[in-house]
Amino acid sequence: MADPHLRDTVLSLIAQRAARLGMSTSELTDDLDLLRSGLLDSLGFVDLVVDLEKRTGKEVDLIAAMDRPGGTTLGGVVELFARQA
Amino acid sequence: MNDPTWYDPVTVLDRSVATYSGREALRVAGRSLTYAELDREADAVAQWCSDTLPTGCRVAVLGVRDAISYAGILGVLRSGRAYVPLHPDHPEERWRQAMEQAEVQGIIAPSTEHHRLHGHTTLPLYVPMPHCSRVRRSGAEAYVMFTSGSTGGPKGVQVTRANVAAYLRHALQAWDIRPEDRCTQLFGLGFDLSVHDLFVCWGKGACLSVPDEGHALRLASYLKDERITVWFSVPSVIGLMQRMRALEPGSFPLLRLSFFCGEALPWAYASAWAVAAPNGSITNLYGPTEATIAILEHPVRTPFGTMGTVPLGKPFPGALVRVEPEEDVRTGELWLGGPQVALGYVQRQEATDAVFRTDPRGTRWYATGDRVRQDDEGCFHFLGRMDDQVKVQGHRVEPSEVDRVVGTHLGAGRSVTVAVEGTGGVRLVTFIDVPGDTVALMRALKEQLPPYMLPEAILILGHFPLNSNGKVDKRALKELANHG
Repeated sequence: MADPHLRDTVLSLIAQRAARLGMSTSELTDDLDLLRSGLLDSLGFVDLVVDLEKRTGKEVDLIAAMDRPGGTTLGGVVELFARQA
Repeated sequence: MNDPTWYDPVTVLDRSVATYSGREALRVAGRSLTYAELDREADAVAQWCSDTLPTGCRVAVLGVRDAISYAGILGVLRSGRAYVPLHPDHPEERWRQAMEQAEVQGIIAPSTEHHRLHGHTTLPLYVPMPHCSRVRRSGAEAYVMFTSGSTGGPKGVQVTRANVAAYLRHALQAWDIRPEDRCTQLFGLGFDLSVHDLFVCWGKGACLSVPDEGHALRLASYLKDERITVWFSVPSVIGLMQRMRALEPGSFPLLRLSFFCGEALPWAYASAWAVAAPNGSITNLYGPTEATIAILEHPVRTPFGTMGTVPLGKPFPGALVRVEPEEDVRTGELWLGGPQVALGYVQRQEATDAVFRTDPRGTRWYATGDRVRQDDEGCFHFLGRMDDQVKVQGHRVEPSEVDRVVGTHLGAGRSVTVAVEGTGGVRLVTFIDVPGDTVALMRALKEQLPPYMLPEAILILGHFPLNSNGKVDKRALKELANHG
């Protein structure tokens, strides 16, 4: 269901940081919480979303997205952009 | 009200319990507690302390977002003991060090967190008491809070109940917080600004609202859902909310009072906040843990500045302030005296003697290490840290002076310049948090700064790294400058 191309983009954006933390690619699953895992801090998360907005040309409602459960998971971020027409 | 015990934190809470017993005092982790309920939970803790622990000892409180942390702080104080907050995000080894250094005798933590403590301590852990009397013991010490130390690791600042009372005396008299207000609790309980959160709110019979875990990204919703009217945070939070596009004009019409403390408040941030909260006032506070929470205040009024940072302001009544002068008498290290100055650092006599000084007339001072300038109206302006000062080719350079100039070219962005010791001597590296033409910026700097003050490089960061207190982490920036 999730756009594989979009998912790859997200992965490429967090790959370096994940590698620096010693996380393997197999750990980067859809239910991985990008904040709780320590992969990103709040500012880093916001920057990731802003970066994705630039790449996709879509603007998302970040405030509403944060209120949804799972909003800060890898799958949640992909879905956030996928549901945006 | 001239009685010094009138503003003692325990007395302040007891008075509100008597006056506002049925009002909501605390909202945390899905629970809502009235003043009467908070009072009962605090009494249970006080009873446990009295039954289990030596008189006048120190008790650790694990600062998780749970009612027990708040009742824990109150109960420990009521029992005449002092609390030592442990930051839930810090590693257990750091807790152990803090507890050892502060000679803690017991720990208050929710049972769900006990597993993190087993194996690191044999100290008694709090268990709820079924019955309790009303324990009230006076105690000299209120809390020990650890701040990072340049040498020898963390330093535990010993703050007395009289220190806190001196702060509350001003806070409760000067600031118009009302029983119907709803106040934020954003500071970690291991940060002394949380003491303001708790006791300024409860001293006025207002409701303290603690956001859930992961709150930093949900602050805009938290503000609206909780109908927050009184705000207190570090200025960096404004930057985060700006990036989230959460500071639209009139976003927070209910906000009446906003306080900022913990780092310099850029005018650009103050302006953005004023636009989002058009019906409220902004107060900038300044103060180190060693002088209890805050000791200078500046009410932010129009016209707003366009560059640089909001002044630190003027001292609270009763506070003693002096500038240890450098070239001119108005510029120098800020020294603080009076009833808010803490006792010193636990088990760190040398570190204590280095910064807590007694003058020939017997007045105790805390040398802040902050360089300030006092203007014609007596208002203090922050220039930077004493210990960040460097010499470049024999010239004295304040990295913050570089940032002041860079700031005039950045608009809403910020810059942080760090000094890095290299083989070729000290070099300056400037980080900025907005994209821009660094070549053009460097050209502009050349026109405003002497050559020795020019940064070797200007690097753009998506955002500045923050430490656990939410301040810009200069150490991390130096790492980046060296290896990034």
